[in-house]
Amino acid sequence: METPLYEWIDHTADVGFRVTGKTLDELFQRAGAAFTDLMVDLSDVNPVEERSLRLEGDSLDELLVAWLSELLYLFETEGLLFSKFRVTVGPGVSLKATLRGERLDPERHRWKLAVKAVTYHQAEVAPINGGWRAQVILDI
Amino acid sequence: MERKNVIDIERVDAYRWRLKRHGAMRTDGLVFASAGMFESIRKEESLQQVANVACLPGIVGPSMAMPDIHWGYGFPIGGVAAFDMDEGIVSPGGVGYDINCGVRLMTSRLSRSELGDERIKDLVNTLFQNIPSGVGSSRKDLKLSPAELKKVLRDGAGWALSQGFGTPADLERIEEGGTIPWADPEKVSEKALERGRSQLGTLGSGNHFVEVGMVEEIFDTEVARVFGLFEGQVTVFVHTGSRGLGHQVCDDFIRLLLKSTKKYGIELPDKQLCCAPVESAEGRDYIAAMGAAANFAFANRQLITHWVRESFESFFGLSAERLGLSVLYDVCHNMAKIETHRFEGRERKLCVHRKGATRAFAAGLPQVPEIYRQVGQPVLIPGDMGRCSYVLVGTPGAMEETFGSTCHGAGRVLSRHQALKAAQGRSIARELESHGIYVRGATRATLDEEMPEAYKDVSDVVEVVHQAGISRKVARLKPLGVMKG
Repeated sequence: METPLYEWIDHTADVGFRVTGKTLDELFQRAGAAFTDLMVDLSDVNPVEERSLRLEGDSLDELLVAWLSELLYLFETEGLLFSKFRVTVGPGVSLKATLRGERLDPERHRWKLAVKAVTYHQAEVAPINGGWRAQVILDI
Repeated sequence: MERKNVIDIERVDAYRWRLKRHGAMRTDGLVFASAGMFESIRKEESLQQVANVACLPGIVGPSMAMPDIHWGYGFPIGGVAAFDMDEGIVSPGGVGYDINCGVRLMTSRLSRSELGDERIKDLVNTLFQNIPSGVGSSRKDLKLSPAELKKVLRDGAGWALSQGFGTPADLERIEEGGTIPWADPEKVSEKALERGRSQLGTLGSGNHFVEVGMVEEIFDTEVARVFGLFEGQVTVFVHTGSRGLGHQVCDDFIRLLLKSTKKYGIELPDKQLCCAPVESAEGRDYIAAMGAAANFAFANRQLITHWVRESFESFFGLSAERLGLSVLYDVCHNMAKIETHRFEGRERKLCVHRKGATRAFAAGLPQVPEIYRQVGQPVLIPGDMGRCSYVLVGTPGAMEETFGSTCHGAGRVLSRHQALKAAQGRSIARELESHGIYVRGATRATLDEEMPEAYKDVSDVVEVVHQAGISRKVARLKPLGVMKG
């Protein structure tokens, strides 16, 4: 059986998720995909529009929050959801990413969850055996 | 999980629990709850969050939590904490992402008998057509220029009035008169403006709602008379906030204040509690931006009020006068305010954070609208969509003990995931309909997540604040028809 992309964290008022990746690049890609999949089914999002972005942070935890917050911003201002991510983490605490996706289509995308914000509460990027693990709590 | 065993808890009386100061805590924690409620509260991480807030510099009095306390991010939801103006801090996480999320209650001249069961459905459907809700919703006829949006951020509900949405009488009946005077739109980022631009006049999603209800029982006849409440009266609740604009203001300032926290050498138990001294440049900028976002929320509730009135007028074919849909009051849930309180025998100017808590000022205070000043500030406590809601009044007890604060709602007990699981194979809408409540959500998931059993019984929450004397029951309202975002 295929390993699920992410694991839910049950939080009384909000929700969170955990992802793992063999490298930091993969970790951030998977976090981005998980974020989309919380809102709509990832497999329903066609990679037809492209966006690029660069981000910096003071720590990997903060970079993770900044990364997901940027995805939320693109959704709220342009209605964009992304399914394909190419992320390069570094040098230092920075990332550059190319994202591909499409605008929300209420006819085709089954809406699952509205996210208000990505919080720093228990946000974590940490090395684990053979890779990295990230977790984040979202305000919904 | 063993962390919570570290907290030494003392039962003060039937409704008060003290978390004794230990470790980095600068003061005690104080939780208002019944014994039954406290049993489940102590299983959660929220008590640790009460203790974490007690570690912040310049805290005055205990780190408090109301009986609707539950695990939030940073501050617990239901948290109240006051900070000294000179030595204390202001924390965006202590206000929350949805700045000035709040509720407004409207009363009418209609009585329940004029609103049959079938008509309720049609009325809720009319509201649904007239008020944009759910994800990605925007008001197509309300595209604001950047200059106009800044006016909204400066003038709040006053801006809405200047555009013909509402009457001067509405403004008197809003906390702060519907305008935070210290708001500065220039402190709000371009990103926040961009997120807010198309969202003004939208309800949002999740726990936000418009609810048509009725007054089921009056507890305090005298206060109810002053508030204009009578048994069987049709009422309307509006629950929403500052939408994406407020979320982005919070996000921007958390990012900025993470740096200030280091700069000012403040030790944090949780990054989400990042803060800056109230009187620092960063602190003042945040307060000015928060005020602007709060004004966006006041304007938002004012616009929705207008569309509720229009919906009622067209639906009943009656004049605005005959319907008499007037604002009873409008309270903020997520705010920090500079207020003067008497503490340990002297007047102190404080920065009072209420995160998922309501201001509950007593009779006689100048902040209470003149029309209510002889009895106290109306306090609006919405419950879940299946049970009931309350109108309370502020008391001297709240002024003495909680910096004039009380609870804000029912408080969740089930996570959204647990609620979705519990709702599997059921129709929440049909279940509620069998109890005479018509609900309609933007999506089915919203209704499932917001199912009544996901919340504490608001009557238990209200009983605690009533018995503890930090506000007093005036009336209980029953939902008839609910529109969920």
